[in-house]
Amino acid sequence: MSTLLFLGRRLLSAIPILALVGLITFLLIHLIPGDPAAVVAGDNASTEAIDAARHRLGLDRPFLMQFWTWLSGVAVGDLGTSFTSGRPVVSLIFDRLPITLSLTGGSTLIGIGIAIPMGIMAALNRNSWVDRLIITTTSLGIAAPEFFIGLLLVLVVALNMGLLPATGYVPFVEDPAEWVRRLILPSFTLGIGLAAELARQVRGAMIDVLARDYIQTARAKGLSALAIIVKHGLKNAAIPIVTVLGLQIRRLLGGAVIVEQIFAMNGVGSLAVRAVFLRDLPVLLGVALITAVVVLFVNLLVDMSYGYFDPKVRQS
Amino acid sequence: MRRIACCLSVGFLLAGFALGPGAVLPARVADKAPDPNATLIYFDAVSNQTLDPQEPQNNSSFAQGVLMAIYDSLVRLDPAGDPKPGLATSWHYNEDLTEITLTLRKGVTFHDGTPFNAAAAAKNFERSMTLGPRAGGVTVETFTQVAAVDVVDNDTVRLRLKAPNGQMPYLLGTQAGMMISPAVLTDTPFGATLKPVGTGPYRVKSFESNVRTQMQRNDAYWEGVEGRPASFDHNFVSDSRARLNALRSGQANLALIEARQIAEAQEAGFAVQINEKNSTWEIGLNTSHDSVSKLKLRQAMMYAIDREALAEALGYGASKPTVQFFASSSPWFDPALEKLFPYDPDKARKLLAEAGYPKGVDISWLLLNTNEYKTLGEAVQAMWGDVGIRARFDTVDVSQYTLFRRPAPGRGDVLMVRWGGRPDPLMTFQEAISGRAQPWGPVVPEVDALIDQARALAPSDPKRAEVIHKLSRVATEQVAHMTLMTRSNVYAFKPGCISNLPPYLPTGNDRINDTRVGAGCK
Repeated sequence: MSTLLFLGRRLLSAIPILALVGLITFLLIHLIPGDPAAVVAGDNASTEAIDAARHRLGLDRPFLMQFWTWLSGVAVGDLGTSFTSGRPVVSLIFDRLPITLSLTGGSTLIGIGIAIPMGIMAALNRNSWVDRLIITTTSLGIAAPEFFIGLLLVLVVALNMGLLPATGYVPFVEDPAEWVRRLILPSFTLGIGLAAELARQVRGAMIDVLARDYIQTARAKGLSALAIIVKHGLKNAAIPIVTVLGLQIRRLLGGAVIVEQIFAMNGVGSLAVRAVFLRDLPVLLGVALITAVVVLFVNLLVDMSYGYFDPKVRQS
Repeated sequence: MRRIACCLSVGFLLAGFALGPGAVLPARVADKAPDPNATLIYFDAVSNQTLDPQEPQNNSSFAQGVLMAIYDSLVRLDPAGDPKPGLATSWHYNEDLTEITLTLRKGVTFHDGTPFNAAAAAKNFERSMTLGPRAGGVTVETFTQVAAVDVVDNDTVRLRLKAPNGQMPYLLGTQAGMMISPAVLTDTPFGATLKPVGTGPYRVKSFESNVRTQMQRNDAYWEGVEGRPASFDHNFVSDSRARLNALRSGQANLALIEARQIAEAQEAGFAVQINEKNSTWEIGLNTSHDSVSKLKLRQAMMYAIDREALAEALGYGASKPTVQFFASSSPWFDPALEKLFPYDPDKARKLLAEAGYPKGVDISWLLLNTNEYKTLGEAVQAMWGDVGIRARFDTVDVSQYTLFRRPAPGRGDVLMVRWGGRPDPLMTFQEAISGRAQPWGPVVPEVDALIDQARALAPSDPKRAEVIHKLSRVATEQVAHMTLMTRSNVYAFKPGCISNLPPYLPTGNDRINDTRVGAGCK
């Protein structure tokens, strides 16, 4: 019951947050220069055609009225219609969401897959050359921008070695093996930064936990090193790690915009970029809102995971 | 600036780049035999929001590649831009050019099996007239001139015009003349709601707005299908590096690349084809503003620009210096005009003083904020600065180009644009420099008079060509516009794998749908 109450409270609190995200995005979009009506009216459109487009799109109405119309639509699940393609924003986003989710999901897996063993190794070999090597490597991973890593991977792995494709995305239902092949390089590109950030967190948390008394007790009881690390070490170190992972999801969604461009993947990121160039306000608002929903959802999952990792949190 | 330009261009000159129509670098190896089972996978820099030819987003000269594959137009413009039979096998005007009667091709069916006939053409015409200003510019331009449509018989349709107009064959060769199956027009669809059914060589299999159009060959195509690939997969990828990478890693067999990537593509073993277009970098002038209204200042600005240096440094071998709207391969190109404004900074300074600006002049430049505009703009700014023309940038978003013309008196003395070219040379003058296009009127009154004169002449009338040539000369001599250099479409592909992609001047795109893919080229 208390979990349901917690969930209900969190969902209710998300509503004003989402409305605020919408308002801020709406304000920002109206502040940036550009004339959506001129874009919609097409090349060499007459002044009359541009004015007619502006009226048709409702852009000649007061700002607050435009916002209210959009917000009322959102309340019933209607994110509006794209100015330029004429398609519902919901379907535009949901058509591309699988690509971005595949990319961020793949990056998260790669990030965790690299970070946990690296972090544990560094913690177990604290202050040794292994530790220093890992710290240096993660510093590089944090410092290297996605576009650099992406271009480097394309050049070496795809173009020079010819091991993987350089561009594109194939849906899972179309060809699962090709889906994996196309995701490897972009997921690595996006996941390396996450791995570096997370590995440092794992290292720090594990060093802290491994010094605790209950670890000494477990060792004294004769438990295997693996059991000590996984069952007692990692689980107790998980809260800060999961917290950082939750925060990194925002970075992944932002990074996806760049990675999708490098690998010609038409996900939500590229939809947002295109919408900016075309001044397609409903699409931009829709992308901002859906991104906010994803971030809130991940935060909720992270909060709920605290209860699993630490029963004291669940009780409180 | 010239020194920088020369240094930048040395590599390209050493590489022996030579620009000619449809030039292939290095020299073309023998084309492989076309494979009718192949798929043409083309990575393009241009996308389609919808597949409705009348939708304003499709008015762009650069958005015609996919549309020409799906839809045939009544008139087909040949590579030089001359009207030739398309879905209409012939046409004739009445004596005073107020009626044009089109005889339609028999035995043509749309992809859905609906027969193409006069009723179908009339349905398309009526739709375009009903759309009014919601349609794209060229459709509006075409159908605001139409008073009525008559179905004469099953294979003949007539357009009655509001005023004499000899431009209709050109206009019907654009998206305004593209025929959509009447069966899909019943619920007044528009834009995204239109099911794309035409009579063209390819039928649509799937479409993702701004992403990808997958098409299958129309085996019943009236012109035959010999050598056409079985499928045509058009992909929009905005990043030029990703387009070339797709080619290099085998995801594409044809890619539109940027001129600066020519050397990289060649080094990777690809053939590069440069198709010159009737497309130019242009500087427009707001002559309602005191400074640029003076001819001597405009002439000084022309003499101060070193076009050869610009083309060498920034054209990467795919641009030519020019002072006119038309490519050197166009029948409308006038070689004599190219001698008019050689780079001569001393003469520019003299003219500037004669214009009343012995200490120089300040010019406001409405600059669109993309890298290519900025790079070219800064180069011209430096050249003008050398002679005392101090250009100050007023940078705005690309979508705000309309600020130049509205609200009156407009923002900026000059504006640079990438002109995409038009099917009819007369349309170029109408849309770029006429009094109809500019609230402040024509730069020179003679321009509008010549446009009106040419509009009232049939395309076949030799006088029309004379008037257009005169118009081009007047516009250049009087500096009604400032052309900097041409631009080309640059393609990369595996040597021998792509054939039948000649330069096509009427639109920003070439006729990709006519391309053949060689055997063994995927």
